[in-house]
Amino acid sequence: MTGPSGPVILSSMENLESYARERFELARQKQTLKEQQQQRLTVTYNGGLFRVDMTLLNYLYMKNVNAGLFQQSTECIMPDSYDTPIEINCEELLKLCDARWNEVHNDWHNEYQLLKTKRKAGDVEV
Amino acid sequence: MTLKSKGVLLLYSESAQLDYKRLADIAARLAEHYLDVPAAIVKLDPVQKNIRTFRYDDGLETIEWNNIGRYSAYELSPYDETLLIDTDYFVQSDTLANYFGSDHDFVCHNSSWDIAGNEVFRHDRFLQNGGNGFEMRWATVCYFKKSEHAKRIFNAWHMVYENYEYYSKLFGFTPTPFRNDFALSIAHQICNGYANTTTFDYALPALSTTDSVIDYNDRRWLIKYNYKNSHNVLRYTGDLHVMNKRGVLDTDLHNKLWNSV
Repeated sequence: MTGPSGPVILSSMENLESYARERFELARQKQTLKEQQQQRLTVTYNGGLFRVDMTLLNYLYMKNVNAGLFQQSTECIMPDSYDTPIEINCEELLKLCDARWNEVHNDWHNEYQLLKTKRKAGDVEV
Repeated sequence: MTLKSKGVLLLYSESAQLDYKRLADIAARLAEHYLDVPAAIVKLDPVQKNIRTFRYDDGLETIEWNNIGRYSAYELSPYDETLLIDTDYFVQSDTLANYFGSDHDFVCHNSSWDIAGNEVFRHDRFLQNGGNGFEMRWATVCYFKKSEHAKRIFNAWHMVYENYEYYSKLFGFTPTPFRNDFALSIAHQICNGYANTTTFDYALPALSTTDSVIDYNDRRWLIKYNYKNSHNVLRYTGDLHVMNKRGVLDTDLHNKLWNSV
């Protein structure tokens, strides 16, 4: 290869290829980690099954704040993940959802830190 | 007040090539531990032999695959509420325990995801390759309670088995080998008014036959997976349907799983 930057270009291309492969594998493993953690985000309450997500958490927080500020009721009817209307106490359900959310996201964060640092196949262990 | 009994049911048949009983024992032990309910293992005497070819990392293998009779689970279960799981489904969390005491009669998965990220189940979204609008169901894990509705689903499952060739033509899939997933899909669709409802709210985590478990420790699986011509490893935590069953019966891995609880 000619030119002053010939070997350098070749070397960068090789690096780029291996970098792209690494990023591809990281993206794949990140997706797996997301799926494995998200399947744990379900809680059972009063015969209903609720998927804990930001919308549900926001709603429950808002209901509890309104109850404190404007003396609104914390009791309400809400459809669960299967569209079955369930009688809930927002305070109780919030406690449950918040605990599950934190548990899952802490694990997710810890696993992600390990994933970021252990990049070579030989470094990954259980 | 009568307390409702709940538990896990595993069905297996003997096969010359694979020790399904040994798989069932370990799957039952893990399910009992993580879900905190008893497990019952029932041996099925197959009414008809079935075979299936599996593609492994190192080639193909055609093995005896006696899966017929799963529709009898309703009668065979000693529990009021049952989680029916395959002998190669290894519970590693209490996620499925959420369904005990729920308002549902029968719940199963409507999708499966390949934890290695190769999307090997992308063709299994519908009953017909290319998609005919009839969503698949997976018979690997089913929650059911003793109720009229659940009983009807199992009866319909049996009826589809009896008339499998007819249904294969109607829905557009190959009639051999018999697949419980297809029979359940049709039964579940019929009994739920062809609505895609009452399925688990997450996809079935599975490892395909071309990938394998190479190590296990404290709920963490170490998985070797293929992508094109290269291999890589990933760590996975959680319940897992291991389709590459041979690896789990490897003494070292088997002992690690057995002694983990």
